[in-house]
Amino acid sequence: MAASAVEILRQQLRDQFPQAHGLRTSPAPSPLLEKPFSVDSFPIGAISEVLPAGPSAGLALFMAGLLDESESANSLPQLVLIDGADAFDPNSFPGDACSKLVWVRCASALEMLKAADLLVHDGNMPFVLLDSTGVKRQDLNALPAAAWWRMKQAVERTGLRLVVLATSPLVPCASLRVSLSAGLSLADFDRAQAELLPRVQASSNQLRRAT
Amino acid sequence: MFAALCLQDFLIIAALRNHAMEGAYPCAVLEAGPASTSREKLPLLATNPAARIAGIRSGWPLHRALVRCPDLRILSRDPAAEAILRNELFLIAESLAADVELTAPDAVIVDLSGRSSPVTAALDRLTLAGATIHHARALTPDLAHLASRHPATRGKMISPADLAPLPFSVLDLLAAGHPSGKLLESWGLRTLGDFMELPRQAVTERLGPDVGTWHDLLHGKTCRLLRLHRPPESFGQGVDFDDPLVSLDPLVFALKRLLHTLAGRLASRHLAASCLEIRLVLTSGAEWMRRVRLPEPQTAVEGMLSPLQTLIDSLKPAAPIAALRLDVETTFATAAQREWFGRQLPQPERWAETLAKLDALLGHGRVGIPAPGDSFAPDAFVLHPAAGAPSAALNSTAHPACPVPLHRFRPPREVAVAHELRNRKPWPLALLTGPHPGEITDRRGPFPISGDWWNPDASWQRLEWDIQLMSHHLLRLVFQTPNRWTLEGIYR
Repeated sequence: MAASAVEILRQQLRDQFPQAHGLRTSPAPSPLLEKPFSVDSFPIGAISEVLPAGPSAGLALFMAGLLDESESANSLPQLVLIDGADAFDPNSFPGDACSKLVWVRCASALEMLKAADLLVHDGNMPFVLLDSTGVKRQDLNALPAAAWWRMKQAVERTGLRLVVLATSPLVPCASLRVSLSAGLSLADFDRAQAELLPRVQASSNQLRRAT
Repeated sequence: MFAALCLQDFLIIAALRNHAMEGAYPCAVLEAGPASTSREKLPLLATNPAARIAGIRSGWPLHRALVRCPDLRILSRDPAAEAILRNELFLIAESLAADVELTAPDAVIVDLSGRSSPVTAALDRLTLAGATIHHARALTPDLAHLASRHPATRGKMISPADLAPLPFSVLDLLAAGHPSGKLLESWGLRTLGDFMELPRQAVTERLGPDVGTWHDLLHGKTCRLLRLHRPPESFGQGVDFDDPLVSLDPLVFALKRLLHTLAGRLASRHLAASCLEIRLVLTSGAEWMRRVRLPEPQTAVEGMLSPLQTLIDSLKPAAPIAALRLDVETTFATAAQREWFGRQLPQPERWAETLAKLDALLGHGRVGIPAPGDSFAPDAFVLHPAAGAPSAALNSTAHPACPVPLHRFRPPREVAVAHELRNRKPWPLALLTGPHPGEITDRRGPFPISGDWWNPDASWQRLEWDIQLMSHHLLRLVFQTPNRWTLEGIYR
C-alpha cells in the first residue's frame, strides 16, 4: 500500500512539475479521445498529430473547442498557435478566446519548423499547436524527418504538449494520431457552435510508442 | 521661511523669445479662440511694457487695442518657449534651496527653512535673460506668493500686517472665479486689510469655509506643505561612434557598456527596467528602432542584454551605424509573492528572449495575442504584444457571426466563377478555377457588406457567400465590383 501511495505521489508530482523530472517516457495514450477539446487528452512530453477525415472534418471547431475549454481565470495566454500558412482568423473567435493564445504567423514551412523549435526549447508555454494544414504538401515533404525526431526529444525534455494539425500524416514520431470527423454542411451554419462541438468525433487510428 | 519668485509678463516674455526684434514695439499675446469666433473679438492675454505705455491693457479685445495703437504687434502663444522659461525659473529657484514648488506657470515657491546663510542678497542677484524676477519672503508660502504679485510688497520680508494696504483684487490669485470674491467686493471692501478686519467666524458662516480659509491665510495662520516638484528623470544614454560601425560585435560591446551604467543608475534609485528602447542611427540618416518589453522588471545587465543581443544578432543594417541610443521605461522591482493557484511563466526572462528570436526570424509584428478588429472590413484584427500585456485586459465581448471558424487565405485567391444575374445581383453557380473547382451545390448569402462610405477614396462594398461544393468543401466566396471573384477562406 505504501509503495502504491508513493507511486501515486510521484505521478502527481511529475504531472505538476514536468520540468523537474528530466527525461521522460511518454505515457500510453488512450485509444479513444472522449474529450477531444481537452488539453489533458494529449500526452505530456510527446508530439500528437490531428488529421481530418474529410474535407469538412471540424479542424477549426477543434481549435475553437480547445480555446473554449482552456482556463479563463488567468492573465497569461494558455497556448501557442504556430500558424504555418498565416491562416488563423481572429474574427472567427470570441475576443476572450483569442486572448488565450499567442499567434505566431509564419510564411513558409521552414519558418514554421524553426518557430516551433524555438518555442519547444523555450518550454514556457505548456501547449503548442502547430497548424500545417495550409502549407503546400511539397514544402512539408521537404522538411527533414530528423527535425521531427529532434523536436520529439526537446518536447520530452521540456514536458510540454505539441499537437500538429496536418492534412495527412506528417510527423514520423508522433505518439498519438487522432482523426477528426464532423461531416459539416452549410445547414449547420445556422446552429450555435455549442451544438456543433459534440458533432466532432475524434478517434485515434494509429498509435505509436516513442522509443 | 518661504520665498516666492514670479515673472511678470510671463506669456509675453516667452512669446518674444523667438521674436527678439519685436520687443521694442508694443506687443500683445492673443488668446486662441474657436474657429467660429472673429479674431478681432478675442481678448489680449498679455502685453509688454511698451504696449502698456501706449495705454493698452490685458483683457481688452483686439479691435479695441488696435484702435488705440495701430502698430500693435500681435503674437501667438509659444508653449515650447513657455516650458523652457518655466524650467529656467525652476532651476534658478533650485539654486537657492532643494525644495521647490511650481505654484503657477509663472511663479515658484522655495522653502528656505533649511538655508543657513543670508538669502536677501542672493535673491536680489537673481537674473533671467529678457525678464525680471520679482520675489518676496514670508513665514507662509501663500503670503509670500501674494506679496510677490504686488510692487508694494516685492523684494522684502513681509508679515500679515504688510499685506493690509494691498488692493482687494490681489486676492483674485486665490479666489479667481469664486462667487464670494465678487460678493465681498460688492460689500465695499477695497483693501486686503478691510477683509482681514472682518470677524472670521461670522464671515465663514455667511460665505462658506473657502472664505474662512482665505482669512486664515492672510493672517498667516495656515502654513501648508509645498507640493514639491521633481523634474522627470531621464535614463536615456547614447554613443556617437567616431568611425561608423560596419560589424555588430562592437555594437554589442557599446550596448553592454551603456547597460552597465544604466544598471548602476537603476540600482541607486531602487528601480528596475520594464521596457528598453534601442535606436540605431545609420550614416544614411535612417533610424532603426525597437522596443523590447521585459517580462519581469530587470536590474541585472545580463537580463537586459540577452533580448537586445538577440535582436542585434538578427540585424542587417543597410548602412554603417553612426550612433546608438538607449532609453528605458522604469518601474519598481518585483516584490510580490508568487501566486499559488495561478499559472505563471516558469522562466519569464527566457520567454522574452524567445519572443525576440521569433521577432528576428519572422519579422516585426508577426507574434502576438490576437483580438478581433473594431471594423467590419475584411480581415480586420489587432495584434497585441505577447509580453507584458495581461490577456485579461484584452477580453472583449465580440462574438463571431458564423459558428465554424474560417481558415483564411492571405491574400484572397482570385477565381473565375460561372454565375448568372438574379435581381441584378450575381449568383454563383460553379468555381471554374482555383484550388477547389467544381459545381456549387448549396450557398448561404449573399451577405452585402460595406464600409468607409463617408470616404470616397477608401469606401468599399462586397457580397459574400458561404458555398458548398460537390466535393463537400465549404468555402467563403466574395464578389467585388466590377467583376472580381475571390475565395476568402475555407471552413474545415
